Amino acid sequence: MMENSFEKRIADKLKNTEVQPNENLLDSIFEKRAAKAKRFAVYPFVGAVLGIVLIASLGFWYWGEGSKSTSISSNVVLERESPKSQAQEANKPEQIIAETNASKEDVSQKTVAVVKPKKSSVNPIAKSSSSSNVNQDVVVKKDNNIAKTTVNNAGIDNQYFNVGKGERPLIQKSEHQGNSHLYVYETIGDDALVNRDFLFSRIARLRKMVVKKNIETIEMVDNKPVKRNGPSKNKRPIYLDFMFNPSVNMMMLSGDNSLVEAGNTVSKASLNQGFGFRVSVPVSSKWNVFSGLNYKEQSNQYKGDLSYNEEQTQINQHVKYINDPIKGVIKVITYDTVTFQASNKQNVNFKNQYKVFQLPIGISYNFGYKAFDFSINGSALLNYIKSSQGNNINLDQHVVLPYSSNKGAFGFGAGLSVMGAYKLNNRIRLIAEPGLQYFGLKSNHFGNNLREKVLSPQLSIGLRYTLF
Amino acid sequence: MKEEDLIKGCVKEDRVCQKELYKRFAGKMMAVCLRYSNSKMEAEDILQDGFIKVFDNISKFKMEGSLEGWVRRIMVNTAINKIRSNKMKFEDISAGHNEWDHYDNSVLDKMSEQDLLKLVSQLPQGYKYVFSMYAIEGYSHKEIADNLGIEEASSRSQYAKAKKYLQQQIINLEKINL
Repeated sequence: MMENSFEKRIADKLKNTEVQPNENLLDSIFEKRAAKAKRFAVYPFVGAVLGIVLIASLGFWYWGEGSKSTSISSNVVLERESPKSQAQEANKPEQIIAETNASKEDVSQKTVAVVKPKKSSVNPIAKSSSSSNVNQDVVVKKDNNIAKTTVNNAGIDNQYFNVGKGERPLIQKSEHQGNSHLYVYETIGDDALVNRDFLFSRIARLRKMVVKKNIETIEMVDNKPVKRNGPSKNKRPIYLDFMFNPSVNMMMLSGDNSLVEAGNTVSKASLNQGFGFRVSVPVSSKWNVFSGLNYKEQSNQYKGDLSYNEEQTQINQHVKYINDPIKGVIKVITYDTVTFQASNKQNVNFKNQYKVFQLPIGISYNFGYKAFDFSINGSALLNYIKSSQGNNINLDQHVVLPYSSNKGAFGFGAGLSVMGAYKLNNRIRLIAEPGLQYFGLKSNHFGNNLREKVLSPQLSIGLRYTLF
Repeated sequence: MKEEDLIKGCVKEDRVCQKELYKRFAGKMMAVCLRYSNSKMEAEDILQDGFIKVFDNISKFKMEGSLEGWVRRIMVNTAINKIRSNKMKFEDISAGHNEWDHYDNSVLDKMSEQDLLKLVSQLPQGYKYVFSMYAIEGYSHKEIADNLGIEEASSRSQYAKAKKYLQQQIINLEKINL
């Protein structure tokens, strides 16, 4: 009972306890998520680049075999320094710039620490970089007056200074930005450092860090905003879609009844294609308006046997024999002329083709889930039919007669579609958009004796580029 | 903002809703993380990883239970994963210490929440994890054993020792205050 009471009291007290974390942590969370998303998107490109580099390297190796190797730039010396030699260099009075950058591709801000040197003190960070026991590659780049140490400390994340808790240097200042954690430690005496191996803790996340030796004081310089690679999160994006639109068209004919009947028997669904672009502008968080331009080569197929009735005349001969008592047997031949309607067939195979520019003006309702965007789009279509050529069916003469015209004409239509967009990266999405269009072709205007209208299911495929 | 609207907003990656969710739970969750870490830095790391998981998986939250409970569970799991990835030390502080003062619950009642949190955070690693999971989060010893990769008996013994140790610390603190 006593025990339960103790646990319950502890739980009651601690369950509602609040401790406020660092105020920059939320920004850090957002940036880390953005970087994570970007990292996954980059893998295919990295793979492609590595592939190209590999092929190029093999090519160079193959073609360059036998030729002399080129020399490395002579003003850069690569060497591994001992802790002693680094300690000696630490006494040189030089200005030091330590730069933290968690992810070169996607970091919204940089932290720059300007470090001023002093002869007598040794900074634990600088010291730790010189430890030969730590599994790090130390590269020293020598220039005329400046010595910089680049520390590649990958692979030792989440480790702490390898000293007792009591001897650990105190943190003077900490900053969190994205994946970067900059901790500025207080200076401690040499006696605490002698015979100690140090491992980087959070500094390990910096991956690469240019450190100058002989550090005494560190001043934080104001954060400078860096231009983001992705679209602004605070503004609503504008989408620019580039699309390829294969479609199947089904004709709806009107005009002279017998022609329509004949046309319907031979009209076939045919495959068409178009391409274009579209700009979507948000008017609210859910609704977008869009417009654009689409070029479509519309062809309406007629293929098959046209049936028709034809009047035919047939002469039938009848032979009779008459038995005349005087003349004997007489042969009598009579002829009947018979007129009748005979069913006939004519094979046709042609396409009526139109060059159409479409200007959609529409509105879309957007909804989505994680990396997928979905929207329902409805639009009015203003079409400009630039030219047309094809054939007319002549039922009287049972022939097809060609026509061709470049007289332009305007027509109207409507479209309805459902769009799915998969986010490839912050700017680019892959679009698939099944839909339906209905529009007239003003075919009479071009010399066609049938009025052709089109009901066209289509599947648009394209890329969406995000502007802001 | 209603909890349901908040969740829907977070599912749609609405920054305002994400900020609101963070604001609502960051303080409490930081206290949770502190119980499973050795420093504020480490706690913030766990909190950061935990909230990333929360935002990534908020769409999987079924509106059946409490959102706070779900977020808390994620934080604890994140902390446990971190503990498992590091070497966990089970120390026996009580060894050789046979004289424990008599503990009275009234002392605990007088303590502030922050002081108590500090005491729990300062418990030795093994004690701290087992104690927090059992006494505060309500895990069974079997669940603790499974999660931390230890024997169930170890969990029980660690808990008993942790409790005794914590009670002694509470008494000590009371003595200092007096």
